[in-house]
Amino acid sequence: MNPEAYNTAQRQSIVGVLLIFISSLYKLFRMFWALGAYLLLSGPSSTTLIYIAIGLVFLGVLTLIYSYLYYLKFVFYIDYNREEFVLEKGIFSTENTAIPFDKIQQVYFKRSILQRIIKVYSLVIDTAGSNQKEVEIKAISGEDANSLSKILLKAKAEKTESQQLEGEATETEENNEVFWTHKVGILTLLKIGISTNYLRGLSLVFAFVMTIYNRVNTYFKDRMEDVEVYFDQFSGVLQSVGYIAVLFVLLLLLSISITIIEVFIKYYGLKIQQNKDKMEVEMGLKTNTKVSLQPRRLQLMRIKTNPVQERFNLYEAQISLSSSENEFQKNKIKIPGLGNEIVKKIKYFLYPESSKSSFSTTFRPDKLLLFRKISLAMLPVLIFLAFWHFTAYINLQLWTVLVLAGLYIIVALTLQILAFKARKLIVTEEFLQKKTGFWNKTEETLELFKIQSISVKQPIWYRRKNLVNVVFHTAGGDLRFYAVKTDVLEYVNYVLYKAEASSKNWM
Amino acid sequence: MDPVAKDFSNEPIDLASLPKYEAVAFSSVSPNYLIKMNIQTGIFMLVLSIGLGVFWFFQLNHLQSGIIFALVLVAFVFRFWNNYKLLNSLGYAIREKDIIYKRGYIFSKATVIPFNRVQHASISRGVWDKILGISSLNIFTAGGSGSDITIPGLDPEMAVRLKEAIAVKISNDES
Repeated sequence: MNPEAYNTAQRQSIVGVLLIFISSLYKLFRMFWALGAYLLLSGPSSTTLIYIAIGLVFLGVLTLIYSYLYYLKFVFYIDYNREEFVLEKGIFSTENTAIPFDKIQQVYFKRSILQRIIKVYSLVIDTAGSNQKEVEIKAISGEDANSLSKILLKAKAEKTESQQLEGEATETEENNEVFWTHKVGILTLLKIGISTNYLRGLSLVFAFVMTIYNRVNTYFKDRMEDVEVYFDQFSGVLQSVGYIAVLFVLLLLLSISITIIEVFIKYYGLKIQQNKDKMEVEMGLKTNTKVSLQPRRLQLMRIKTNPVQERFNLYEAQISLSSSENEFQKNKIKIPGLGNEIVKKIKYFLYPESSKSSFSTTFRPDKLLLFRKISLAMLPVLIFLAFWHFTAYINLQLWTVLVLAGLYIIVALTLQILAFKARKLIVTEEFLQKKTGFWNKTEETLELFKIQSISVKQPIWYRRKNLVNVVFHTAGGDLRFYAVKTDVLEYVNYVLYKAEASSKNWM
Repeated sequence: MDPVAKDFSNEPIDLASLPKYEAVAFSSVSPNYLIKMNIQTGIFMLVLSIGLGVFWFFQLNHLQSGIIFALVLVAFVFRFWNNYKLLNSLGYAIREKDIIYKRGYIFSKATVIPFNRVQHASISRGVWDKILGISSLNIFTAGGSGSDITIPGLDPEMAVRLKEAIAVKISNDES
């Protein structure tokens, strides 16, 4: 094969015009079928029909011309000097994309029925990141697809070889010595099942109390009117309260057992095993999920818990990985039911250097954020009051409304203030940590050099108070921290420095 | 002693002495981009006004339509003013190791992308871009869409130069 093949501008296979033509017609059809159906159903006269036919033919010809032009303008080639693959496309608005060889993640073929009929392939060149960032050549002959993908994969391999060498030298040493294994037993799964959906249980309790209240209320009203049937009614009320209680217990049991079943299906047989350089996680009853975690591929880690689970010594780890070359592997994994000591072990494995740091700075959000959160939390009260005042949907006494609203406001205020106090961002020498939540505690950890980019936002009303929102973008999701003093910018610069000075591969 | 320790150093870092991204001088984009934004806003306004006009013709009395048109007018005056402010706020800067792009007046936002995190770059030109002789540079990373940037209103030659400069930086950083 010519080593410099495809160095000049290439077009797609000429039958590609057909593909473009058909897909554009399909798009047009999808846009205008309703109009067409309407015209046909309205009983058009023969002259209208002729006009429609002429219009359609005209449209078809235009589409054909468009398809041909699009075909002419769709050009790709390999630039060997710059070591990149270049794609140019578009008639009216044009786009010119260049992908360096070493950023190519994978090259693969796709084929729809239409492509099968006209004997062309879709060649997809994938880069890291989300699915929308891939480059697709929709009509390429089998021969071209094969040789182009071979060249690209070879170029990619050559370009990345030098970097991989050092890494692979250690990896090829088969080291399957197991350091430790952690299994999550049935008992723990039961605990997870009970403690995760306590909210559903809580709402049931609330519903129960409300119904009891209603019953008793009507009973007392009745009693005022009729004293004689006191005992009768009292036992009747007792009976119905009993029924409700039974029903409630059943519902609670049902809700808990559904959660337990869910947990069992997802996490049955959860097993974590650490080797020298990777950690294997295995779980699932129906579909067995198996993920191997390498510190190199880790992007963002979240540890979640709440006071109930904390008492059970249950923590949940959520780990985001960079997309691997193997597309079928999951990139985000949730591991529940971990004890504190296991979490520590995992952290130590994934972040071996986390213990030493020459500094640690904590940032807290400004009161402005609390103010905003509280105002948002007050919205439901306003809506509720508006409904109560202006419509007849909610039929309650003034004092009940006031008590309900007051209770809600007190609870919401306390929760918001506590949550606000729990919110902090900690920067250390190698890590960024965000802690949030008063009840559902979340702790996000990000190794500084793993960031992809940083955004600093400042709405106009932050300017006078010297506040900013910072967003650290990673390949496994964003870490945001709102309404923080501009002092944080010093650390933003530090994080950038860490990313730019690091020669370590982020994936 | 361990030979690794010889060329290894771990000096403490003075945070205040690190280069500050916020202190960089930004290049602004072509004023033609303002024309493009205004054309787009104008077209939108025209379509909306025609729609409202038709509606008014059939439905409303003078007072109601007057109020609606006044509101629309205010909204569009605001849009045009915002376009103007937006243009002035747009800026990009290239440093040795990263590219910075800032935009927005009411919601100002600056994004910094280190070159060793850039996946690829592309240049796109819409119809108005071609008429006005400008183009947009898109820079993609492996982060989410919030992590990518699109710098509009660049001189086409400048866009190509920037793209090539970035390509060189990307491959330099890898080795």
